[in-house]
Amino acid sequence: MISRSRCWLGLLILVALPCQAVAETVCGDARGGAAVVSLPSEPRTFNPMVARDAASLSVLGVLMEEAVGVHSRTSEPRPLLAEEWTLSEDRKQLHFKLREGARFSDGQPVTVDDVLFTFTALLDENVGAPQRDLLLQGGQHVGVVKVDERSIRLEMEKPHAVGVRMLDSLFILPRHRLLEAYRSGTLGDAWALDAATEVVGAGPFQVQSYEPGVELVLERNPHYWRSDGDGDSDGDARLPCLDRLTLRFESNPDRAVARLGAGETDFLSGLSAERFELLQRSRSDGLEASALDLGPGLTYDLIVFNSNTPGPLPAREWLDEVAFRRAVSMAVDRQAIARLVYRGRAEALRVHIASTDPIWGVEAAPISVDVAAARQVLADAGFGWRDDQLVDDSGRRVRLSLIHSAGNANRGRIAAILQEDLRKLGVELVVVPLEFASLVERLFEKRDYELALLTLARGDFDPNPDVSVFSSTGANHVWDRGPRDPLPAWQQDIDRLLAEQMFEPDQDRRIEMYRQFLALLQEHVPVVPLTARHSLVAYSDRLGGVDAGLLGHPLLWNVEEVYLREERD
Amino acid sequence: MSAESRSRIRISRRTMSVAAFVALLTILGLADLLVPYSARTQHREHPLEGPSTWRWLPEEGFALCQPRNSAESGPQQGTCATWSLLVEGEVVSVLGRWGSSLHLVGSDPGQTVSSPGFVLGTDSLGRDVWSRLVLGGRVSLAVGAGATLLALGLGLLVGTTSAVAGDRVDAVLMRCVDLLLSIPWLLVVVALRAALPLDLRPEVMLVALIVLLGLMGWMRTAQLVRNVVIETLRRPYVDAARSLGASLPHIVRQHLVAPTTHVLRGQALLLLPSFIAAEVTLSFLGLGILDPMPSWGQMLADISVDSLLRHWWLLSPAAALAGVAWLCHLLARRMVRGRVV
Repeated sequence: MISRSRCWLGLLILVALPCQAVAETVCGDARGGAAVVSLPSEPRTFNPMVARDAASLSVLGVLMEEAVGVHSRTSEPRPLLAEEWTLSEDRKQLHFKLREGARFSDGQPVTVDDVLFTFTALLDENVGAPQRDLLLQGGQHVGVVKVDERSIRLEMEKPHAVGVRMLDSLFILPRHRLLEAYRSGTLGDAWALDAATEVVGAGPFQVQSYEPGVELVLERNPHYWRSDGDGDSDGDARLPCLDRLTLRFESNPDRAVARLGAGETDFLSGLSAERFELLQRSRSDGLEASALDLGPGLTYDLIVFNSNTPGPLPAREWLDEVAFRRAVSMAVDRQAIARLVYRGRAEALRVHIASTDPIWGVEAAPISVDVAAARQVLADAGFGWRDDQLVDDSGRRVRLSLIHSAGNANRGRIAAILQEDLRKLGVELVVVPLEFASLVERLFEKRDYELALLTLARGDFDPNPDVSVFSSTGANHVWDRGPRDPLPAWQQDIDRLLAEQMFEPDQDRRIEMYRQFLALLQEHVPVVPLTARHSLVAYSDRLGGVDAGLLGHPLLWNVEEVYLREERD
Repeated sequence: MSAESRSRIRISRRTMSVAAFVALLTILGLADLLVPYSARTQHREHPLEGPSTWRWLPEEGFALCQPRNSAESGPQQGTCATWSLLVEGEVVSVLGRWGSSLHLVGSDPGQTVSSPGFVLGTDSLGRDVWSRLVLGGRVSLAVGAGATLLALGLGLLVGTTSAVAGDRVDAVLMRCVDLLLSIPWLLVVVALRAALPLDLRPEVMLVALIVLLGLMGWMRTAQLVRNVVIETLRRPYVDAARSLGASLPHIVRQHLVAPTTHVLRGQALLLLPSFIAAEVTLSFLGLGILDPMPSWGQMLADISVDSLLRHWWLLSPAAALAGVAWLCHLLARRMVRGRVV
């Protein structure tokens, strides 16, 4: 790229001053061009009011814009359609001011009325938007008030702990396009997959064409608010840098890697460690792409003990025993899983949060496997051994089954490791891979399993999404779907801590509450967290401006800043 | 080459392939004693270690040495572990019953070496590939042979019933066969696994798999047997036998046993490799044989795209499967020629 090389010359010969003037623009001279991003799955909808899956949300993030977003790497809030905001001292009022000159892709300005409409729809029970729960934490009402032509005030009854971050992923909708559908009660049906070209948003790109199962071709939104440079929006130079962005759906990861090697794809995420290392090695063979390890990601593997009532007998009696669960946790060699299954590209977990988490993580301490101590814990709890097979106090042999999703080689390997680790305790573990639909049925409907090996994803660094997994009434509280009466005291404590932290204005106290919650988890072991695998991405050398992080899609979150380097000989 | 010497060669080749088959069965039968490690032991410090090389060390005897330039072998490279005959090692259960700690060959206990040595390398969890290949071969072949026997039995029963009863029974049975042939059996197996109780032991799963594959694979045999029987019963010499007052058992013995046996033998040699391949497919998908029981399909499931070239030893089950299929093919060809000549 010419501007950058000039900048380097400046650095070498003179001082850094001429460099600054050139580097101030995001794209430099590299404007235009088309990039291809490979996505493992297709979006299910283009309607933010019904979108729940990661693929739909990634795509919507490119087509639409929020008032305030979150930086993928630092997790800091970043101003998008709102140019500034203030949170009142008691954290009950959030005041934000819309940017002037922001427009939707059809050229209509983004106004306060659009924001009001968006919040009305989000809070409407009949629409049933998934984000509604996040806004109405604890059933509290949120008031939305128009202050003037550019300002909005959100009023909450309780102080809102996450503050402005709650605006993340709340895409501002064009009122002039959707009002009619909302009034007739069909907002949820709008912008389905067959209406791709009708979608209007304030994001950096708009839909050009959509071929189901193959690709979604996006072109630049000429009205995108962000200008490339010092904020002088009169000039023509607006972001995004790219003219065209193609999202290609490639469910076969091997083919996706091959396409990157052939130069047909520019960006890949969610790589397995094997493919990552393959790409790394191919670089020395002339592959023009680099592989990047972003560190432990937000997904984690865990063992779940079925605690539903009525549970499977007699396994239920063993699983109810906290000593038994603790012994399992002590005997499992998490380091071996990280090393053998993920080739070292995973962190062995003590709790479900990786040590690299900026705020909430716990210190990384080596997790030792202690089979002798685990056997002692079992012996103290009344278990015994016959021919080195574990038996409970009434003489029954301890045999357990572990279900997991078939067709995933890595989970199969983890299961084989668990099988050997539990054998050291004298527990015979029968591993049952199930096809995904029957796994879900067993977990959520029939609830007749003993142990399950699952992979869950945290939506954010912030602990709020954990509420849905660890709170006894949460939608994703897999291991005890309730209702249960009475709840164990520690689960009541967890529920209380998770509910209170949502409204705790003091960040330090909030962290303290979260640490207490993690300590309760470690003490009572309702689940055994195993490993957090690294988030691995690869991108072609043509791409510039990549700032991959763990939140959201590692490339699409700031795709407006991504540019194509000039081809050089 | 004279006709006589050619036929002698043919006989010796035939003997050879039969001998190879018998040798294979013997190896698999005594597998527990022949393998140096148990199939489930995970040598977690040695994942994806390459095959060791045999060396003769004048002082110590035979030794297995790690490849020098293997990327996975860690810092201490090029060390050798001595191996001897009849070594005490891990306890294995011979044919699933008698515990024995004696191995025909094995790494000498008590050595301080970086790696005990693996004849065919290790898989991603550090399990010995050679041991798993042999023990898994027994499982895969048992599934194949068991399912073949079941399929042949069912095919013979339905085929002869259909041919002898004739008319309506024949029509109903053959339409049922057509119907069953059109079922996508993989989906049936997947659905069935979800319906079975979770805590089935691997041994029970093995039997279930045999029954399942047998039930899914008898239809062609039934069609063939039926056709052969009908065709034979229409022959003039059968009519002649009947008109001379020969009893049904006599006709069956004299005229039906030979052609049906021939069909069954041919079918057996075709079905065996295809059932083994079916087991491999199912286990590859994680729906067949379960850990800790090894099988060829399970071993192949461990392969990733990255392993194909770098960890070639993981492909040994595929080679073994190809070998068995080839052996069956050879035997089948001998059989056909033997009849024609």
